[in-house]
Amino acid sequence: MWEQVQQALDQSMIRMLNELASLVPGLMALVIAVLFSTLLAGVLYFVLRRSLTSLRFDDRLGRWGLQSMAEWAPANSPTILVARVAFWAVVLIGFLIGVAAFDSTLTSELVLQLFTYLPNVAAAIVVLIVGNVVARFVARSVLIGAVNMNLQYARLVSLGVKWMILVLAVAMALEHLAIGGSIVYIAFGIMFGGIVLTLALAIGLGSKELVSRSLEREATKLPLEAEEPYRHL
Amino acid sequence: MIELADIPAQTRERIEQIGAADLVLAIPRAASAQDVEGIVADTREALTKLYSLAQTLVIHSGEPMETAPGAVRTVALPMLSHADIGADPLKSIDDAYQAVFAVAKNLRARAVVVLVSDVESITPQWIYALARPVLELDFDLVTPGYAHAPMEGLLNSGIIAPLTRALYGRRIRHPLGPDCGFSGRLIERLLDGPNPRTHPRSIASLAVDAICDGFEICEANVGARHYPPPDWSNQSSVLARILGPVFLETEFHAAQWQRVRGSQPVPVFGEAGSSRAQTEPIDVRRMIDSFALGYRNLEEIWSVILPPGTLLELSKLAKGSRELFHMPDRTWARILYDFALGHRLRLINPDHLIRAMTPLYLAWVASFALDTAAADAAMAARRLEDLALAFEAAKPYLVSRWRWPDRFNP
Repeated sequence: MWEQVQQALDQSMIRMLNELASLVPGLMALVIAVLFSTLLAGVLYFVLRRSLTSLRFDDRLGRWGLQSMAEWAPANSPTILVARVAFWAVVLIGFLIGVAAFDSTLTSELVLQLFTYLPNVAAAIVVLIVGNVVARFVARSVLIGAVNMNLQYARLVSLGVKWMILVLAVAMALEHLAIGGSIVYIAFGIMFGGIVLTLALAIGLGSKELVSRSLEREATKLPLEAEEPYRHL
Repeated sequence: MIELADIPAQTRERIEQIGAADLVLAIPRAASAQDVEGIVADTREALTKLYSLAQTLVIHSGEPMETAPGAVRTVALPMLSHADIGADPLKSIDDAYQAVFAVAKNLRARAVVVLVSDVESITPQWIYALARPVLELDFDLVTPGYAHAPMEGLLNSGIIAPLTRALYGRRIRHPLGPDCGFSGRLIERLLDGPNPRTHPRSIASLAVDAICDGFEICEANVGARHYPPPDWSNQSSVLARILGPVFLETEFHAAQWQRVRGSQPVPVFGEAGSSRAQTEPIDVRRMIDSFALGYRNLEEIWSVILPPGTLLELSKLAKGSRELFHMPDRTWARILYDFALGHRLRLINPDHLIRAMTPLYLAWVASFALDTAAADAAMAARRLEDLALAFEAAKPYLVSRWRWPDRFNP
């Protein structure tokens, strides 16, 4: 009987060792893939950082209205942020390629799903960047316009418009990422509606007289006089 | 760009029938038959003062009409009418000039006079004063000299004229006209100029191109001009439409103006009319409030364009007392130069940049109004001369910043 138990244990041990042995090549491939991708990522990091520094990427981003990127970038440098994102992206890709070397159906499907999800991530990032740029541009337009109209709450209106657009962009990005589902829709609706209501109340209650004076002025103004700037030369 | 082929066929046939003219007189605002008849009568009277009779074609924006045979004929060009032209009236004035130039070139006209002011302001003296230097004295560009109240035409007095004087070295009181006389030579140069895509022509191009290309320029005193009361709450649109082309010209002609030192007067013809007294009160307090509001809200935008030294001066101005509100001429000149540079570097959207300047312009207007409150016309003119000299004195600052925008940042 003890010989049978011994035999069963030996067979289990052999099966386990065989399984482990079959994993070793995959593990070695994974380690090599990660090491190689880390090396490649390091080169890419170095090249990206030098290139972006020579292009004065940080200053240009500031001019394009993306100063907020510097605020949450390491060392307040979007250049370093971009370089590090590229570094870790390459390392991650190397890891995924290494995982695929296990020749396991489950891991292959996981890798496939991850790669299928990547375009959504890219689209979400693009939506966020475009949304940020548009929000800043529109906010600046509104701010300048409101100041020139002598509205005391110009900054409030500008911030409200900016956050409206940012909330919209974030909701669109989350939809691309398929995160949150209906909760995102509801939350977006509440926030967006709240911001619009706040702006409407601020403008409506705070500038009744201004709007009525403006309407009176428009009604009595000669149609051509308002649009002939050369007559003031 | 407007060409002869863009002009309606009926008008083109009439022009071809006429064949040639010595003087082309364009009155875009003459739309009614009464206006046109009045202009024709004024033209006949003006022509009698010329040394020799000039065959004249009057272009108006009304309906075609017959005139008595003689030296003065008329042709209707409806596209000159504001009502027919699209949404941007300033651009339409540029197109009106181009249409008139195209007609004048076709007629091989020796002189073209464009009168854009109100028809009621136009007198035979206007036509004579703007045509004679071209027809008889061989000048190429005749700019107008208007008699107006001290607080009228401040956009020109406070920005355009001193800027043109400092940059291009000519003391022209109204470089942007808009009522001017042109020679056939200058019109050919303006029509055959550089690619309109890279260098879109506008009113701002006229005097600057004439100066930079070495044409002869003079000024003619035409008398009083009616200025509409400015809408001080809507200055940003006016600034955006006028300063945009001016800053573009500054970029385009950078190689020329950087070599100019000082300024020269241009010959002036005719007697200067007496300036009118200021009748419209100026709400200085509202302008100062606008500036203060602008400082509180737009300082972040201004800091992208203006150097720290100027921002500090504006800070003192915003926090100072209203009674002693005064923007030094040097500061105003540097602000304009910095905005011209910011426009060139595209630090922010060009339209945003110019509109963000509006509170600063109102601050200068308020300062000027306070400085000249008790001044007569002569003192106001001296004040503007001091401003022009300040622009000239600050030009090295512009040249340095233009050449080394990052290194020179006081």
